[in-house]
Amino acid sequence: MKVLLVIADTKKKQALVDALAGIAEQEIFEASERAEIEAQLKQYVFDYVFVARAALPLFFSVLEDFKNIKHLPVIALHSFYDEKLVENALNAGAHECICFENLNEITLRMALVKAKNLCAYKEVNALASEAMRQSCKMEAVGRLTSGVAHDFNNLLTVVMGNIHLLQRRLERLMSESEYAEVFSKVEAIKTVSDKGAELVRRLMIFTRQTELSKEVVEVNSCIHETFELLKRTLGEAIEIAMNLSAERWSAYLDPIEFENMLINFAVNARDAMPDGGRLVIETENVYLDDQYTIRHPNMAVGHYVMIVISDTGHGMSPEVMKNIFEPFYTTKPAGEGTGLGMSMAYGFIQQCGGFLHVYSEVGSGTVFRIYLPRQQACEDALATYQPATKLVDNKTVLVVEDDAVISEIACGMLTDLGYEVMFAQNADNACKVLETEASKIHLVFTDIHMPGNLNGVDLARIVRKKYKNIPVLLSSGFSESAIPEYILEAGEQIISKPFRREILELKINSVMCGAAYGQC
Amino acid sequence: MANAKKSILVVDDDALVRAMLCENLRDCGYDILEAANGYEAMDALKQNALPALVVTDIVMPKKQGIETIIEIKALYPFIKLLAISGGGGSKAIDFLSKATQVGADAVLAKPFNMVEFESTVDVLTV
Repeated sequence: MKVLLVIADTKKKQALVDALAGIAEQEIFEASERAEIEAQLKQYVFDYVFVARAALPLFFSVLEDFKNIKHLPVIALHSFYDEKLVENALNAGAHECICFENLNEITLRMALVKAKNLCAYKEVNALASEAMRQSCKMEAVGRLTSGVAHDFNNLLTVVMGNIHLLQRRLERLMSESEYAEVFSKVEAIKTVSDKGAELVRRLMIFTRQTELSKEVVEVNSCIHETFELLKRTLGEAIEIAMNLSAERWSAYLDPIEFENMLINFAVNARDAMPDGGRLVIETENVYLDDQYTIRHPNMAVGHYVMIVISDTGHGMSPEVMKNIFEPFYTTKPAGEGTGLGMSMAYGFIQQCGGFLHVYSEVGSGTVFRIYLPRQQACEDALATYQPATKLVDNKTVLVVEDDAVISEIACGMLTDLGYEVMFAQNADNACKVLETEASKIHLVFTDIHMPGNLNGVDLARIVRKKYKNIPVLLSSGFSESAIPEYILEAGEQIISKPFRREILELKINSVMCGAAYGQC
Repeated sequence: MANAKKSILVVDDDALVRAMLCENLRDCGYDILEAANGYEAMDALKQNALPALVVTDIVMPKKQGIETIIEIKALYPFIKLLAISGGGGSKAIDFLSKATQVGADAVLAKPFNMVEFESTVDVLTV
């Protein structure tokens, strides 16, 4: 282990060196003047620093300039025990104190352990506080933004509605030539209103108010599909490279917004490389363990698809980095950027249950790491999925759906899968069918949102109570994250519309067998 | 647009939005009732011949749109409901999803295209 001694008294120094010798093999370095301490800290990474009590102010004033040194246990050395002096040393930043009057191998060993633990604790605590501060700030900005978005949406509704009204009246009241004169003015107002509406829509992605059309997709394929567009966005001066993981993991995301996010990152990278450079997109499948998340308190343990986007641009200062996800924060000249690209990316990733990490060095470039939770249950289900070779015999599904198009699709899929199909247009009709035909029905497949006295959830409750043997599969036009948890009871499954045949089959099998396939 | 006889109740706390919607719908030949919040909406339904459709905002002071939709659906299940909202909460689920869950027949996010608004109203009042 590497140890730095900041201590002037030769006799005391020797006593400490002797005690340390019994503990472990070590390299000992010394410094007593400011310049010497700076030189040592620049050159080496130390495991421990021992500082004489009198030199503590000097040592910590030097350490302040070394912001990159985060984990350095500091042990203060006292000639004798004095409660007040020990307290002062700990307040100054030391992690532990030892006295020469009772210096021996055991007291030293204990001091090392205590200093190391306290240092680690302080570091984790500081990281957690910073993460909390950052998340509170983003939450506050989000609340403010969502209020502004709501007001602007109302303003735009009035503008757009009145333009519509005006247009219709002018058409009616004016001659064709008169109308032709004002037409371009009306169109101009319509165009800027639409632009305003688009701006607010982007803001709402940041505040997570826009409902995303999420589906389980293979991340590498999504990136592949965006490649040509990214190339065009970046221009010829910038080289683009991809290095995607061999094993293809899936995530639950909105592919269109995912593409927008990649483009936003590419646009920022392009602007950071005015003289050309290199953009690399990589994917890696990672597992974040508790050791990792303790140091990154805003992240959670689990399997993730990690997307790394790195550029060789001019990089960002720590100050800029702190603010890049705030809406309307931009370093670009007025009129050249909306300041919403990074905010949208932030909101999107959060809404996907993921995390975003940024690292940047001024003059060298920037690396964004996006972590999206892996959807393993769906991958496994699809990997083992075999199209039904043997059709299901003598099983009947009661389909309850008010939308004629969807019911036709669902009935078609079920027939293809070998099921007999019965149909009811709403939950009330389904109850009537069940009263007479329950013995023939093996599954009720019902939409949640239907007109009438009962919705799909009510129907599920009735079936559960009156026809215990008939399982229910619910369907909804909303993404699963938009469906309140209380809707589902234990063992119930839900499928998001539009659904694929294989997912429907898996869900039906799962419901019928009572086995869970996770969140497909 | 046809159906001069059909009436619509427009509920929005923003007077300018309400006036604009009412005027557009009158232009389209509908009879219009107005209300600035859920309480006024329930009163309007009690005091007038029932409309074919209620167009309601969601975020309103006093009685909110969601509560109003639930009450209208319970008392007058045959009245169609169109919910409109410009968002405004900090929760991930937006208000229009909730509106659908509690029984709105259609939803439109503000600001909406007026042609789309009018055709939605047309479909709901057939």
